[in-house]
Amino acid sequence: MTTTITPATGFDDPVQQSQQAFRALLDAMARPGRVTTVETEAGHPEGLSPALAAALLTLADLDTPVWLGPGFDSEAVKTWLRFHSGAPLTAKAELAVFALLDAAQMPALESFSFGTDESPERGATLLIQVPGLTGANAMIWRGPGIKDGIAMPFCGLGQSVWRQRTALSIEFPRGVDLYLGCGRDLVALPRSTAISIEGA
Amino acid sequence: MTAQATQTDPEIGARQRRLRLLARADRATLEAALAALPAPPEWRRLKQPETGLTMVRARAGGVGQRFNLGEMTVSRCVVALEGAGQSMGVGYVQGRDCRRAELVAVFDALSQDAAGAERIERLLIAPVERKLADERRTRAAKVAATRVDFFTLVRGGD
Repeated sequence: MTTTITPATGFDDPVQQSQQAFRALLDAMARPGRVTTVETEAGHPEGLSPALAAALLTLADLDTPVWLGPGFDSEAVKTWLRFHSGAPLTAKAELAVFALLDAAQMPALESFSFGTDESPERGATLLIQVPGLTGANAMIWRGPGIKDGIAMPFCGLGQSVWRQRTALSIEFPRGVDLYLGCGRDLVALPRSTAISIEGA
Repeated sequence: MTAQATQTDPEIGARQRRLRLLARADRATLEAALAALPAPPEWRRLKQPETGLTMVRARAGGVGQRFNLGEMTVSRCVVALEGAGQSMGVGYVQGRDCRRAELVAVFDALSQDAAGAERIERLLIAPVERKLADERRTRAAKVAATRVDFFTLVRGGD
């Protein structure tokens, strides 16, 4: 007999809760840099931020391959995600529509799909779990949804990741969209946001 | 997904039979069986009971192209038992009775180990199977009583 892991629970009320989470995700994406709290709570495997768990359950479905980064490719996460969303898990990062990543173990951003000039919407959305969304401000974000500019900390992501993201600006409209999640809070960083790192 | 389990797997065959019979048991039977358990099980819902539509597909005469026969209302639920094993059970039933779907899932979860399967078989599955067979026999007998044999006189030798 094959040993099976019983998955963690998901949304208690999928219809209402996924809409509430979707609203939070939408608000966050419309206001890059603003910390948004995902009020609705989903059951989730241990170690995964509730905000990102809710985001995954809301966004991922049968048509969206998900890539689980190092740290999240455990049986507990796989079983949970497959059970609740039905999303196929892909071993190839470039095929992923969504990717779940840990800030401490970030692969190169270019391993993900940026979409094409004809279909920029094919670019991947990366859900990154970070240790915190506060800290010493180290960069300025500018772009649609931000009045003037907003000072942001590195949020526990390495400098190299931010440099890669900065370099991506010239690819626009191709690129990747990021959600940085910590606990029940998240910050969105769409590809339209330009980043200037202070002192760089 | 891996193709590790096929329908030739006896365990899967047994579960299919169990779920088929449980799905046809009425709610009173399921509730009575639950009450008859020596230790009432505790469970949590992994998927809340929900009602939806599923497409029933068929082949005319069992052969040929598959076509969509129509949609039917189905309720489903997935539960996990509280306790060491945390075994998981699924329930799919026709109609909108979510409680029935949940109970089917509970009995499926209780049948995940050999001892439990044996107990549920005796308590619930076998009686349901007998009852269904009886109903089928009764109906067949009623139909047989009104049977008319048609015959045609064949004209000519060739």
